[in-house]
Amino acid sequence: MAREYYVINSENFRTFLLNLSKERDVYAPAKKNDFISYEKFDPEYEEKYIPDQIRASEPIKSFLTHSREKVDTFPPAGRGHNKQILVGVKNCDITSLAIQDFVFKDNDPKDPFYIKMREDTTIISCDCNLLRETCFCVALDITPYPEKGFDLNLSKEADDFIVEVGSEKGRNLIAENRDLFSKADETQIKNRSAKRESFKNSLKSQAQEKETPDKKSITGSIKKSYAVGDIWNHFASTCIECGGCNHCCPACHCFGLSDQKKDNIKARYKSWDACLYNSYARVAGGANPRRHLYERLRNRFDKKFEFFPDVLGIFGCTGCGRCIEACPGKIDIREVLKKIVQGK
Amino acid sequence: MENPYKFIEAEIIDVKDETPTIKTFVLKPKERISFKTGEFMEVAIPGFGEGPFTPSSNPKDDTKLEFTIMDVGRVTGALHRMKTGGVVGLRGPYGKGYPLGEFKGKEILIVGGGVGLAPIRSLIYALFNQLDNYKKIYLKYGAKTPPDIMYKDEVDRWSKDGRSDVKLTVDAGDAKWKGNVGLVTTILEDLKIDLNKSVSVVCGPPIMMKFVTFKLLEIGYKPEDIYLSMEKNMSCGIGKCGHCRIGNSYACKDGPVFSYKTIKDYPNIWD
Ligand SMILES: Cc1cc2nc3c(=O)[nH]c(=O)nc-3n(C[C@H](O)[C@H](O)[C@H](O)COP(=O)(O)OP(=O)(O)OC[C@H]3O[C@@H](n4cnc5c(N)ncnc54)[C@H](O)[C@@H]3O)c2cc1C
Ligand code: SF4
Ligand code: SF4
Ligand code: FES
Repeated sequence: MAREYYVINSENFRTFLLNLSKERDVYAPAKKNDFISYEKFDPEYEEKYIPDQIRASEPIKSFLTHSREKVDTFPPAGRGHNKQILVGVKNCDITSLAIQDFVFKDNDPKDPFYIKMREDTTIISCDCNLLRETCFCVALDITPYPEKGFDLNLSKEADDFIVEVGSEKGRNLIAENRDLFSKADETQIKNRSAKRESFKNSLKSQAQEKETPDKKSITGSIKKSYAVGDIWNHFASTCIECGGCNHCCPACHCFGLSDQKKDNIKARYKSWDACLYNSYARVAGGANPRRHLYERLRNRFDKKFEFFPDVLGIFGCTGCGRCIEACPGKIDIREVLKKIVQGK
Repeated sequence: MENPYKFIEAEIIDVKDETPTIKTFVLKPKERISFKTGEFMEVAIPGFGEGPFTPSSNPKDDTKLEFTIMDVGRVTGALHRMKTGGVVGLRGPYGKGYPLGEFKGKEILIVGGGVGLAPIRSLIYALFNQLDNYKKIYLKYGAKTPPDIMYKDEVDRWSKDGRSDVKLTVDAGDAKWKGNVGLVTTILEDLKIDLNKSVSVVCGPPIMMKFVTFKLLEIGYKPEDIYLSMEKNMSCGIGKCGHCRIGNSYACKDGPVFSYKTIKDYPNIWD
């Protein structure tokens, strides 16, 4: 299918969001101190939303599963949800959907809670254009712009956005607002390619400077690391077992079911879990196959760089760098991979 | 769409004391549930908690299910306090059970430890259901002390049945005990089994499984002929929550019964 491109200027884009927000919940990235995080679109503050630049603090999974949700009945009793549109999603998050979809949508038995949220979500992604110290997608062969997995994609071009159509859902949104868009011309699309290439190169240089290992050298390295003495103990020495790296990770999908009773009402919850927690793998009578913290830290890498390549053919890491920023123990996933690949 | 996290209610219709710490619960589910031997289920106390357990009853009977449960902590302790008439929740059955097809025409050596005899009882029922398919069943079972021996009546019956050969051992005997004293590995000596026409099945605490597996390898069993029931922390039972991972597989989907060959190269499987 030939790709379809449009152009929208910044003023029309705000009208577009306003129109979309009339029938759906629209979430867009907004600046908060040094970070960007999602806020529900409010036309009164339309100028604070930044679709481009870099990923938001929240991983996209937080819009598709809840950190804690009641799962006694489907559809969930009492609490419905609106259709939602996520604006400014970056490719590291889009790529992570392959993992979440694999777990909750594509494998039987399916998770109806996830599938419903996924179906009711429209993704308007955006190319990245701000270099952040923690981004390393390109080292893992992930581009800082999406080529699939979106409904519409935005590429910032001066004061305009070049809009690429990625799905029927996206095409319909344009059709509903056709007068806000004009057709893109060849030059604009060529400019987009040049911009993408140049931004990708700046990420490449950053990865080179930091000696972040590439996909090929990471492949198979975790398995080998089991035989290397104190390597994981060394990294785990500053870990405080907070689970932050798990929760902020767009690819981490683990959860636990729990049963609770309050005022004689019984309920079952599904809550995000973290493999760094001591309780995660514990079995009967307190025995624990990963009783040491270093084993749990290693497990996280094993799942991402051994398990997922084997079962799905992709890493369970997309280079978004959120865990680097979240970790109070200053454990940098790139540094860990570097040392593991070097075998010391 | 089916909600995989929702359980089916089941009534406790009988509770039998097996040992001072182990009870068998006979359950009548509100909907009929059938299982293959070795598959497991999630048993919940509504509003309190849930855990994975393997039915210990005859898979041929789909009107009721039995679970034999050792009191080791929070959920199992609360189950032990439940009485006839109480209601629990059931999800499943999940996982892959014993590959009975692979056992055809073979002598089957079953090694059990402690509460590990629960899934084994269901397996023995299943084998007895179609005994012509199998040459002979050897059961080697180890318990801590004589009062800890489970299913005493059945073990007695199996001992007297010419089609099975049963041997018991305890870690520590008492005044009345005349049988073997020692770990279960001590009753695996001088087996008169044609190893080329035999499979072995092991279920028990992790440490016992490790030593029994090494013993079986030493005796000459091939890794593909040793079947292990792996105990892992399980929450969802359906390959989603991540908890039960062993190497590149999930015990709840690809197991809980694995041949040693399929997992032996993953790191730290015994921990
Ligand atoms: C496939 C399978 C089949 C089993 N079959 C039997 C059986 O037939 N009979 C029997 O007596 N036992 C069986 N077990 C073991 C049984 O599941 C545990 O003893 C039980 O879950 C312990 O719960 P607890 O709350 O009483 O233990 P506690 O020691 O109080 O639990 C401590 C913590 O670990 C968690 N936990 C402990 N073990 C598990 C587990 N395996 N999965 C998830 N969470 C766990 C608890 O939720 C709690 O958070 C089986 C285990 C597996 C994996
Ligand atoms: S990791 Fe890559 S895709 Fe993600 S925000 Fe950074 S530059 Fe963009
Ligand atoms: S974020 Fe850092 S300190 Fe927290 S659990 Fe992960 S590695 Fe440990
Ligand atoms: S128990 Fe959830 S993945 Fe196996």
